[in-house]
Amino acid sequence: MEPRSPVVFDVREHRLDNGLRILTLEDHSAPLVSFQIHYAVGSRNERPGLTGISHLFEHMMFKGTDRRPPEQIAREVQASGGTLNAFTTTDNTSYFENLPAGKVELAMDIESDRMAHLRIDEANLKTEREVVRNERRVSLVNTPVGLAEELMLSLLFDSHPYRWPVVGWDSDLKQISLQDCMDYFRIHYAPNNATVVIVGDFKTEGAVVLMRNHFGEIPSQPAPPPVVSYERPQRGEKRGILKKVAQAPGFVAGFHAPGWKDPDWPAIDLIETALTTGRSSRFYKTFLKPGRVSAISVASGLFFGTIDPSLVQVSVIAPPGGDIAAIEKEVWREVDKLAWEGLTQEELAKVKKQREASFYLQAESNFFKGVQIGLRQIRQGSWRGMNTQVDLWRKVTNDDLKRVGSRIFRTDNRAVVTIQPVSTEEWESFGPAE
Amino acid sequence: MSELKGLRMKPTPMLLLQSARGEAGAGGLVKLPPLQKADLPNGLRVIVVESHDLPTVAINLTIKSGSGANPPERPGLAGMTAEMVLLGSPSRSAEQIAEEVDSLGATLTSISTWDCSSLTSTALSSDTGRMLDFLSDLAQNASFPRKELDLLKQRRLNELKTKLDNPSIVANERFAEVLFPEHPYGHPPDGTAASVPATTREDLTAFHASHYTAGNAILIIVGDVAPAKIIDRVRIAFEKWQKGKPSLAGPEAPVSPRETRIVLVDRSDLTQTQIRMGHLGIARNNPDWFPLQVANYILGGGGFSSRLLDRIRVQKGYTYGLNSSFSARMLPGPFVISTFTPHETVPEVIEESILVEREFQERGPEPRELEEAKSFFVSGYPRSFETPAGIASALLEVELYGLGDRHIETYQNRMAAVTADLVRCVAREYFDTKRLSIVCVTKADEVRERLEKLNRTGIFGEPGRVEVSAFF
Repeated sequence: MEPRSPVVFDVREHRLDNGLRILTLEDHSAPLVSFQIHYAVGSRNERPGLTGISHLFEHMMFKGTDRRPPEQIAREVQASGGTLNAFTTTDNTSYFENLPAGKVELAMDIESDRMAHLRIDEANLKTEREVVRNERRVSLVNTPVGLAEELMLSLLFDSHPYRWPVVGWDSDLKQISLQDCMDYFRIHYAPNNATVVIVGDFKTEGAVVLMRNHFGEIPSQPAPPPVVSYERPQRGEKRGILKKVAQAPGFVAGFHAPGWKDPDWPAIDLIETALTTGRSSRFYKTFLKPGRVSAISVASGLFFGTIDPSLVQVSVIAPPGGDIAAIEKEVWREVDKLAWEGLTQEELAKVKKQREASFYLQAESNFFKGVQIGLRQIRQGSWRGMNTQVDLWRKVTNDDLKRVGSRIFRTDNRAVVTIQPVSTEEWESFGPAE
Repeated sequence: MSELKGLRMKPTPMLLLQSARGEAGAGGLVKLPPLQKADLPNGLRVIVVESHDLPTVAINLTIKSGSGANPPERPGLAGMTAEMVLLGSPSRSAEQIAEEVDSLGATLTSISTWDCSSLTSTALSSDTGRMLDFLSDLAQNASFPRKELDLLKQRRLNELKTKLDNPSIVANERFAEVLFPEHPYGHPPDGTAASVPATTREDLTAFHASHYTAGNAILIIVGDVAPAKIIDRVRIAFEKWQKGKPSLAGPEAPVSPRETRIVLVDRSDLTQTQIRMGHLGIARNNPDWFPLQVANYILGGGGFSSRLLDRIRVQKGYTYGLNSSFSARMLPGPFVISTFTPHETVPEVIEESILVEREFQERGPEPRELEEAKSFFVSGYPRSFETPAGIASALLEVELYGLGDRHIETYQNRMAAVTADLVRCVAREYFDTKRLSIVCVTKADEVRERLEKLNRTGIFGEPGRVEVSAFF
């Protein structure tokens, strides 16, 4: 394999006087542009009693402004041939408009309008609260592993807000008030707490002038209170059981792991790839191909690497009637093998190439490039990791994999929740599932 | 991308942005860079498009037969065949294939839709030749090892079981069954607990022999490649592929059910009801496809711009998500409204949906709605061409459904020409609220009586049938 120099992303950085950060990456290969605003707030900034407010508030951001009635934002963007949406994670809340080139100012107008002049009231909070509770049921409660994952997080983390789901607890969703929402908005939705990323077919110079026109007058706010919680080292395995109506047993496990900025993160990426990416991966060959499990996955971080230390998650669904205890043991045997013995030289070269190729393939889309830039800025503290990422993967050695793997994949460092299938009658006997 | 150190790169724009003409709106017209097309003597159609932004390539080898070609007693056959193609040839074992693909950092997957089976690959462009040799070997020489077939059946059976824990998928499949009781479109494309074990190696080799032929295939390559060189490489790799029989008889067009039928699939542990309601829609080559896209967008396909989401989510708060769509296939596929709601509000969601739909049929679109919908499709069209894989699938659609060489360049003007009258006409012709197939995956106890009551109100015209069906 001939060595290649990595692609360099020529991101330009600007900052307005009110603290708003602007990151631009021109790409004139298609007449399209992705505009994104990433707020440095997510469920890690919440407190018990207000869990889920980040995500609920994301919904409220579509409810209109002084000059835009509810949901008009979506209509305007779509009428310009664009798409828009938003997503909330543990560490960020991000809004984006993917537009035809030449329409980028519409996104600036909308995002500055709702940052400065959002209008929300009791009536639309009432509707949106039900929409979000409905979303929680369909995307968490009624899914194969949602409730087990929720339980695992609450076991793994003692004191850090990563212990509750981004969508929040239903009991909190019922209580969050309009005043809570307005306080939340004032504290976190300020220009100094946001990063705008623009990727695609536009000119940076002109875009920065327009940005200043639209956002320049919005006052900055005192910095939001820092998240001070941290996890103590775990002293012994934690285990739980989740009984639900299911075709097959399964388990969801989490291992404490560092945050995205940690120098060991590239090794974690490669471990994840070696275990689960492609049909030559270890988990595929050992478990999926012979049908010993129905599904198995490894996910490091929460959506990407996180600001604070979080986890590496392993999820398994057994075949119907499968012996989940035996399967779990085999899974840990396979994980230990990697953690203590590392990879073969061929495997190491392979997983590096897989990572690199998928990094390039993602970079085909303005949207994904923008998300990488924005989330790195918020979660790693700088977008610059975009340009060192491939080199960092290339430098990982087998010793790194063993050192990092054997530190993370310890029994004492994990929480495991087993999914135990039960009858509908037994499920109902537990009371309502919310 | 402004700099690619050490990589060959020509700043050829993928799409030329032209100033808008006529009614096409402000987004610029899509014009693909010249593509190279070649038909090999054995009938294989080859299309190559250059795109030099990144050192990557998308390759799509498509067989023009999919799950629509499954025999009635063998649902899942097309999908299993496509999967088995990746699992062995005389010169490569399944393990070798997997190692080879992964060590290139490439991806190789099989996808079966109703109308085709595709082997798709993404790779670094420097590996294009190797991937082509590879695909050529697999498509022509697949050896269907028995051992691999046994394992595949086991995996499929596991997947069929675990799928039952996903109420949304169950709702989709049961809806298809209710709408297409006698047609391949009504059988699950992944097969059933009966069909998967019954499928023999001979079924697969027979399907492969009759469908995996050069004359029934399209090869599309998009990426950082030199077309003339690539076409030469394709000629060498694929010249020995058999042409196959000229045309294969597909299934007959499906027939619409005559009455409303409401099926409650009972799962009392669920806290939400999954709802699917719809009827027979259109084939992809239907000339009314353009106005119908606009009509569906306004009704339920356009997210917050659509009337159904506005009424059912924004005004009523009954749901988090709702979508309507025409699945336009070789033969008429379904039109379906998909949503979910708490059990208590199921009758309201169904009733409101029908009322919204009827109002739309009666009055047609508001001028603002029409303009916004058209603009969404016209100005948004370039988004389909952002990545090599996107370009490949747009070109495949044109080839597969015979949409004509000028489809892509005329798309925006044809969409822009859609009028309010036309939208109202097609809404009246193709939406039908009196012969609905409705499937609710739900707690039947809680919902049945109220749906029977709704049925008696005459909302469906002639009252339909309400049935409860076991989940498992």
